[in-house]
Amino acid sequence: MQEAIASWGFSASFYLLAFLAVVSALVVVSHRNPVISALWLVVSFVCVAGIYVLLRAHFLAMVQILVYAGAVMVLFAMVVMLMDLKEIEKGKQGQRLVRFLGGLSGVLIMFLFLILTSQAWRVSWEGKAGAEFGTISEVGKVLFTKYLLPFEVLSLLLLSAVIAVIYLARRWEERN
Amino acid sequence: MKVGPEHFLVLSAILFSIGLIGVLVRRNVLIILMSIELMLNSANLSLVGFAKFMGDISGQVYAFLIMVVAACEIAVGLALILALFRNKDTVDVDEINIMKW
Repeated sequence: MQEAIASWGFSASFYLLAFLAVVSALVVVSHRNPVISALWLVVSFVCVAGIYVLLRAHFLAMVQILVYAGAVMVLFAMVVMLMDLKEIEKGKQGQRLVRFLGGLSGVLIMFLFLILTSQAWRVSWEGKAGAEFGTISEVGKVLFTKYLLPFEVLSLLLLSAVIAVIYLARRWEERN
Repeated sequence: MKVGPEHFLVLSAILFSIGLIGVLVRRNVLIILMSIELMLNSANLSLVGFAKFMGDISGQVYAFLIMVVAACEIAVGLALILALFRNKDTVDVDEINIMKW
């Protein structure tokens, strides 16, 4: 009985979070104002973080909130506010056919993906996730043994990104 | 109604396609960058789903690595957009045609 209730709660929260994530993603790509798009992007990221919790990835859910919903969105908000954005995306109609064909091919690719991924139940998924699966200690153990080199290379990537951003974002006059 | 691996993969496919359509259809370069973030996020979602249903933690480690790369990418991308905006005074990708070919 208790298991049935737990399973029902799992399904219900999955469908709720999935619905919210898809709707907010649609608002992100369709809204005219980039500030509102950025705010809906936060909603989408938080919903995906909730789905990570359902998938027993608690550490990743936390990192998702911190990095995406926190740092990336602060960057977006700062940059959007630094720019004096004029209304674009109307007026010029020249590229209309190209954009229509782009959207059409995007929809076709979506159907292709849906056909492929909806067959995933045919594969036998025998892997068992233990009780400790997805905690910080479990992820950390693998990250600092098997994936130590990629982890260290990643820190170099972060450093180079910081230097590149400082160089790019300086004012043009100071550079000469 | 049991939620199996295919549900998570289908959700990931839908989110990826929404991001792809955003990249192809929109002309505001900020929205294009946000759509790229959506695509990276959906790839992460399918990786975490595979990690859970195969019982292998490596998928989560990959997702973690991808998150860091995405954060770097967004920082550099926004800095480029800012520099471009200072020079061309626009965020419309159709207007940004300095490099013709």
